[in-house]
Amino acid sequence: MNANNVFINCPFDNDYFVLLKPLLFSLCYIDLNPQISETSDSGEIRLHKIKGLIENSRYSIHDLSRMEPLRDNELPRFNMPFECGIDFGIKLSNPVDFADKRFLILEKEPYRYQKVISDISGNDIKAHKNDPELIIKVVRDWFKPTNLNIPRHKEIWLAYNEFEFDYEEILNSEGYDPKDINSLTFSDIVENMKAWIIEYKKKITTANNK
Amino acid sequence: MAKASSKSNLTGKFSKAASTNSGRVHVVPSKDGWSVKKEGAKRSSVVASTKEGAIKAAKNIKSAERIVVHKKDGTIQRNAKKGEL
Repeated sequence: MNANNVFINCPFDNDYFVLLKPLLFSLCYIDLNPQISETSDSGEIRLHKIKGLIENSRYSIHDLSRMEPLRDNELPRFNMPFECGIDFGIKLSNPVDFADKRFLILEKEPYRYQKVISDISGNDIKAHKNDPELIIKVVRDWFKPTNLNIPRHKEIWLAYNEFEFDYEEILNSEGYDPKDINSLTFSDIVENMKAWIIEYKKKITTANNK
Repeated sequence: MAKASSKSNLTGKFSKAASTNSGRVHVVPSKDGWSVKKEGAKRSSVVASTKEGAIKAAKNIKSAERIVVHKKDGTIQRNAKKGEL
C-alpha cells in the first residue's frame, strides 16, 4: 500500500469536471498521488483494476454527491456507492493489511447520506456543496493532521485559479476544449498539474524571499 | 474522442507557463470576498467585498498589464488589458 496514493471514486463527466480538477489539484499541491481508473475495459477487468488501485492506496476519496440525478430525465449514478462498498469490503476483510487505510466520503449536502446510505454513518463524511473552493478546503483540512506542512486552503485555491488560466490557455492553443473532461487523459492532467505546481512553488518561494 | 498525444510537449508548456513572470493580476472569488492576486505572489494583495472593488484595486497595481477575472468555479470570465476594464 503506497502511503501517498489516493484512490478517487467520483463521476467522470463535464458537470463534475469543475470539482474534479480542484480535487486533483489540491492532492497534487500537498504532494499526494491521485489514482483514477479511467479504462473502458469490460466489467470484470475494470473491477480488477479498481481493486488493484484501492489496495495500493492508503487513502480513498469517495464522492457520493451524484446519488441523485442532475436532471429530471436522468437516473442516479450507482458506480460511486458500488466502488465505495468494494473499498469498505477490502478493508473489512483484511483488517491487518489495511489497518492504516483511511476514507474520506464527499457529499453535496451535510447529512443527506443518512437517508440513502446510512450504513456509512460514523465515517468521515464532508459536504462540498458543489463548490470548487469548498472541495479544496474539505480535502486540505482532512489531510492536515497527516502533514503539518500542508498550506492553508486559500493558498491552494489562489494557485488553482492561476493554474486554471494556464490550463484554458494551453488547451485552447492546442485545439482542445478545456471544459471537456475527455480532452486529456487523467494521467496527463495529473502530470501537467504536478509539473505546473513544481514551477509555481519555486516562483512563489523566490517572490516570498525578496 | 480526441486525446492529447504529445504529452511531454504539453507538460513542458505547463512548466513554462508556471515559471514565467507575467504582468497578469487575477481577481478571484473566495469565501472572504474577492481576492486580488499578482501572478506568482503567494498571497493576495487585496481582498475586496465586491467584484467591482477588486477590479478597481487590480487596476491600481502598477505592474498589472492584464487583469484576469475568474468565475466562482475558477474558470475565466474575462482576460483583458488593464485599460479595457
